[in-house]
Formats: sequence, structure tokens, C-alpha cells
Amino acid sequence: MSTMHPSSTDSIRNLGWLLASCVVVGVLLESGGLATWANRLEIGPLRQVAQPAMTRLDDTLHPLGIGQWRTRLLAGLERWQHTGTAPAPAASLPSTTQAPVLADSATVWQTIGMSRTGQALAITANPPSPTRPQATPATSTPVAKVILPTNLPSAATLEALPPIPSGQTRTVALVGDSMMAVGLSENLLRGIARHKELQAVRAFRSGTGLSRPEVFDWMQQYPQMLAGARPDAIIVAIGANDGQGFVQDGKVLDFGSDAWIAAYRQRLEQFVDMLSQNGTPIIWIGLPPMRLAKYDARMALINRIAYDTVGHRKNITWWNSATLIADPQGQYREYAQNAKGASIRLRAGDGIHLSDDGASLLAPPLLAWLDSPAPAATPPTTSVVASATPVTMTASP
Amino acid sequence: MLFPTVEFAIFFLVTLAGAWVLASRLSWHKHFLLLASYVFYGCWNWTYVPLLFGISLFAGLVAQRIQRSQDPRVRKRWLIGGVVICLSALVYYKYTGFLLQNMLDAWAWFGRPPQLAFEGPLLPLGISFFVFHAISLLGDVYRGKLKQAVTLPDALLYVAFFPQLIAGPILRASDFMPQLAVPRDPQAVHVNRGLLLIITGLFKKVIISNQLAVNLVDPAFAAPQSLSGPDMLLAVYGYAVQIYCDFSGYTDIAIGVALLFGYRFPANFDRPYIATDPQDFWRRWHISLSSWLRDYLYIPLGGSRGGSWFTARNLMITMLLGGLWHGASWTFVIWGALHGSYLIAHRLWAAIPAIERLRDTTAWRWVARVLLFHAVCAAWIFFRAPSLDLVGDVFARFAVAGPVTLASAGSVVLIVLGIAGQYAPPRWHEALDRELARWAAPVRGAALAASLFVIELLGPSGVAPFIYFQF
Repeated sequence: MSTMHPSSTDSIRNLGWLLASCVVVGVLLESGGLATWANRLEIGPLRQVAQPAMTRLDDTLHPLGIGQWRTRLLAGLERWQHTGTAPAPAASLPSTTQAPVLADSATVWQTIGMSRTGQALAITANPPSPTRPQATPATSTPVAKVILPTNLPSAATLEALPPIPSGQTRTVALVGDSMMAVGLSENLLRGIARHKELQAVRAFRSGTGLSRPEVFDWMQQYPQMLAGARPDAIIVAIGANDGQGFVQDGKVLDFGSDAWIAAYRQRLEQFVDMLSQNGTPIIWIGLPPMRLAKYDARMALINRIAYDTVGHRKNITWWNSATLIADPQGQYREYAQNAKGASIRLRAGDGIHLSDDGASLLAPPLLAWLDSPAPAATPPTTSVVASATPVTMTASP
Repeated sequence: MLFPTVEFAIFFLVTLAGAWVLASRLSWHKHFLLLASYVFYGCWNWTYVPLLFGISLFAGLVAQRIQRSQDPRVRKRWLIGGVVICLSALVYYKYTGFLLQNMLDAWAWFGRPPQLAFEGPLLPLGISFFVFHAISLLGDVYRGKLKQAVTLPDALLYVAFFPQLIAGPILRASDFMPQLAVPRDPQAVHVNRGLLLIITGLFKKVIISNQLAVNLVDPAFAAPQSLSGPDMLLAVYGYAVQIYCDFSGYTDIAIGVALLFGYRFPANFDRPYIATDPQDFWRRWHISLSSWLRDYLYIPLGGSRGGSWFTARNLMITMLLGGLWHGASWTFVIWGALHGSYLIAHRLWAAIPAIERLRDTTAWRWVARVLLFHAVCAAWIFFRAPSLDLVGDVFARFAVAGPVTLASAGSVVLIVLGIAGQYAPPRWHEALDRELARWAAPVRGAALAASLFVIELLGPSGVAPFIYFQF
């Protein structure tokens, strides 16, 4: 198609009419998708303008019924794709399962989750029926001062689960955002594929988190991702996209404010309550140090909240990934040398995600926890005892 | 700001309107496009806008120096100095970590290397492309291919023009800068062709590439150990189609967008999987890069103006560096080496006179086409896999018997569509263009909206990044 060949020409006036017509018809067809797009925008001036405008537009066009027709069409496509002639990916991998995520709203219109360094994360998620909060800055309702732990555990090894009875299998759900999807899930899936007694459920999605349920609602999507599977163990790596403000009850909560921490903690509680049904043992992998200082500070706070919230539950082990990934001072490092003296790159080029080699340091202890020791990876020559920098939190104004 | 997003649609409509309103005032028009291009780039990361500005300004200044001088030695010095500095920026940002890592590994052969804590710089988006644009400006001015005097605003816009900024196609200064010298004609815009390219590109990217990635390629390459040979083969075919539709889809959109602004970009893909030999493939795949490497690397190295070994050496150097251009990893170097060896083997094969008649038969052309496609697929495994270990795992799976479990109807249809679509005669596009020319503009607009709607419905959730953005 790129090959140039003779083509017709138009005047710019015709182009103007054409695009105006496209915009009008596009808005008629896609008002629901545009409202969803606006609702998912990062908290800021653009969202403040776009969200009410698109919501009003969608409400105005709602009586035409195009939105409902569109939703039915999407649902039909989903059914065809996942239960019709095409088998779902769950059936495609002998030792892994992956369930489809039902979509009923905008797809293309959702912006990709991008790291701040310009490296794109993988595919972002498509949430179900979004809520439409009218955001106003949080100005009242004082929230109690939050005190979070300053020292995080640093054990590199994990106590193994009970042995798998002969002839039985253990199903492990790999849960999380791109911190699971990029590098780590691949390493774990490769390790799991070597053990017939292990099965994996791929319940991870890049560009997601707990701070923006209007973008991806884990509480609704996770059961669908399991597709009926009942995991015997769960490995979670999530939080890299949560260093942002969000809207709750119509109020904007700034990242790191006490109100934000309280709300985020509540979401974490609900999330782990859902994961912990039947007392399923869980490894919660702490976020590794990040390259850019500002982002690293945000992720350190997420770690402290997560540890404080989930780390004391009986069925959950909060595991500090910095122990294996960070330098001896617990700081970000991109390269390390293994015992053989070979240099290995631990992090992806964005300074956020794990590289394949970096993830290969985390995979063996996790596979050993599943009672299936993997072939030994060559560990770096240094290990680390990490502790987060103390941060004093103040009540939001 | 990826192409298939609402943000880009808004940016595009605003910029298009502004550019055409200012079309008659050429200087304003170009300054407006330059500003819009920096906004486009800054939406990813403002930190690197000064780098983009600095490299293009530097290239513009050096190009002016080369043009002003009549002394060949002075001109050559400016050229070499300019190219070295542009390449130094690329090497610094893209290869520092890789070089240090390999130096330490080489050191380990002789003794224990020092324990160095080092970090490579963060990679600015599109640096491989805008550095090559800067070098093309210097090269074309030095060779006298660019007749007009280089102005700094034109040099800045040539390097930064947003449709090609992130992932090409790599424009030649001698092709694009003359277009900046005259106002765009508001009565002769290639609207139908531009919109058809945009729709085609979106279809390739959003539906074929994204669906194959989500449902076939990513799961297969994540854990090849769990797959049988037929499954792995299907996934490799899937990746061949995915990367073609991803990258050619991006360039279709870039070319289409530029056409609506009144600018013509060169073709970047020409149905590469119908190629019958490696040389033919590289005339059809990422044409702007392969012709850049040919003109600015292979020919300066001596090209084929020597014996067989001399030509083979130049081919291998060109393809090795072409592989390395894609990324600082040995997998890319091996990918380049494989293509270099394909080109050399084909030259040796083509030099055998006894088989000349065989090569001209239709049957042999089909055999050659199938063989070449599989050779290209084998090289794609190195391109896709994150490590050489995983490459080994993928090849090992081909020998494992087992049922086909990955072959969903949708994936197979998309693979067939991605390959069979390349056999569609170009006259079909011309016929469609002519048919659209008969439609009233508002009807075409409605059809465009309906097409976008269908693409949105059929694509998977969210928007995946374009593969070539990482280069």
C-alpha cells in the first residue's frame, strides 16, 4: 500500500467537509467511547475539561440508542472470539491458562500506558462500565495522620509451600501489572513449563493498578481472568502505575496525601481479601528501586503502604525484590556481575521494568516456594538489605 | 501520543487546520509545523526536546558550512566532523551500557574485571531515526544533491516533522527539503490516498498486529517450552505477520498523515513477503533504512566495486551495523549477520550460470519465495527473543511433535490475511481511489468514521506501542 501510484486530488475545502462529516458521524457512533476515554485520562487539566464535556455529550446522545447497540455488538464480538469458533488462549498453552477479559467499552480510544521515560508499557486494559465521578479538589474531611513502617523485610529466601501430593497439580496465578507482565511472568512461565505438576493462570495486565478502577477494575476483572480456575498459590507484582492521584467520591486525592493513603490502603485490603479467598498462600513482590529519583520515591511509598497493609496477613508474604535486584545500598542498579564475572543487565531500558536477566534472579526463589526448584540461576555477587527511607506523612489540607 | 488514540486525533485535527490556514504564509506555516512537532515529541518526554533541537540545529549549521565552502577538503572535514558528532550522540545514548558490559565481559577472559556500578543513559524516543535524518542532511549537502540553500528552520523541520519523527520513514533531505521551499497547493491534496493509507495502517496495526500479539505471539514467546513444533511454527509465522503489519501500518499512517498536510514521503514497504531473493526482500522491507544503509554505508565502503570477497565483506558489515542499529543486543547483531549471510549466499548462487534457466521458471520463483520467507522467519526469532537462551528454546521446540493447540481460527485468518494481502495487485488501490473520488466529501467522511468505528470494535483492548518505537 505504501508504493506510490497515481491518485486523485481534492481541494482543502473538500477535506474540511470530509473531516467535519467524519467528526459528526464519529461522535454519534463513539460518544460512549469518548466519555470512557475522558474518564480514564490522568487527573489534570485535560481531564477536568474533557470529562464533563464528553459525559454531557454522551448523555445528550444516549436517547438515540447507538451506545446500547454498540455495547451489544462488542459483547457479541467477545462471545464469538472467546466462546465461538476461536478457542481462547487458555486452551492454547498446555500448562498455562489465560482467560479472556470481557470488554464492553472503548478499545482503541484508550491511551497506552506510558512510562515517564518514553518507553511504552504493553497493552493497556479495557475496563468495564466506568463510573463517572465529577471531580472536585478534596478540601475538607480531615484524615488521620498516617504512620507507615520505615524498615522493610529483606529475606531473599521464601519458605516453601507443602509438597505437592503425588499425581496432583498446583495451580499458581500470576497476578499484576507490567511489573509481572514484562520479564517476570515470562521467566516464571518458562520455569513452570518445566514442571508437569505446576499450572499457571495468566492474570496480569500491563497499564493497570489499584489506583484507577475506572481504567481497570481488578475487583471485577480478576475473577474473569481466572476463568473458573482455583489457584492454589498466587504471586503478585503490582503498583508501578499507582503513583498518581485519583478521584474518589467526587474528590481529587493527591498522591501521597493521608486521604490518598487511606483510600489506597482500603483498595489493597479489598484486593487481597478477594485474592485470599480460601486462604490461598500469596507472595506479594515489593516494587524494585526505580531509576528516576522522583518515581523511586513514589514506588517506595507504595511499598511501605503495601507492606503495612498485606504483610501481616497469615497467608501473605511480602517479599522484597530489592534484595536481589538492587545494589548493596538498596539503590537502583542497571547492571550486575554474576559469580562467573559476566555482566548481566537487570533492568529494561526504561529504568522501571525488569529485564529477562533481572527477572531470572527472582524466578528461582519463587519457583522454589512453589516446591519446584528451578535450574539454579547465577546470582549476582552482591545482595542487599533494603530499607526504605523514612517519610513523614502529613494530613492533607 | 500514539497514532491510534483520541489524543492524536485531536492533535492532528488542530495541527492540520492550523497548517492549512497558514499555508499561504510559508514561513509561518513551517514554524507552526515545527512547534507542533516539538509538542508532539514533548508529549512523551519534554526532557529530550533540547536534544532533538540540538542535533537538528547542529546538522543545519554544519550543512550550511559545507554548502558555503568551495574547498573539497574543508567540505569533507565538516562532513566527517558532523557525522562523527551525530553518531557519537547515538552511540552514547544507545550503546554505552552495551559497550561497557561487553568490555567487562571481554576483560573477564583475562582476569577478574573490576566491580563497576554503571548505568547506560535512558534512550530518547526516536533517536535512531532523527540522527539518521541529520546524517542524511549532511550527506546530501556534501554530495550536492540538495540544490537549495539550507535554512535553519527548514533543517529543524526536516528532522523533527512529526509524522516521521518517532519511527520513520527515514526521509532524504534531497527529497523533503525542496518540498519545504514552496507553499503547499490547497487545491491538490491527495485526500483519498492519504485517508486510505491511514485506514489501511490502522487496520494492520490495531487488528492484525495487536490481535496476533495478544492471542498468539506473546504467549508463545513467553514460554516456548510448553509448545509443540507446529504451535511454535505458527507463532513464528504470526510474528512475521505481526511485525510487518505493525511497522508497515505505522508508516502507512505516517505517509497518509503527511499527504493530508500536502507532503509526500517515500514508500517504506512494498509487499516484502512476495520477494524471491534476499536482495529483493531488502528492496521491499523498510526501504528507507535499507536504501539509507546502501547509500551512506555500503557504497562508501566500496559496494560491489571489487571482488567477491570485497563485496561479501561490505554486505556483512552493512547488515551487522544495520542489525545493531535496531538495538544494543547480540540478538540484533545475529539477526543482521543472518541477513548478511543470506545476501552473500544469494550472490554466490546467482553467479552460477548453469542454473540460470531454472531461476527464471515460475515454479522455482515460488520455491524461492517459500524458502526466503522461512529464512526471514528464522531470523525474526532472533529479533523477537529477549535472549539467546530463548532463541535456543524456540528452535528446540520445532523438533517436538504434538498437537496444534494455538491455532485459533482468528489467528490463522489474520496470518493468511497478512500474507495474502501482499499479493493484492496495486491497481486495486488505484481503483478504490478512483471510486472514492466520485463520492461527495461528507459521504467519504461518514465512511471514514464508520471505518474507524469498525476498526475500534475489532481491535483488542487498549493500544499496544509500535514495535519500532524502541529503536
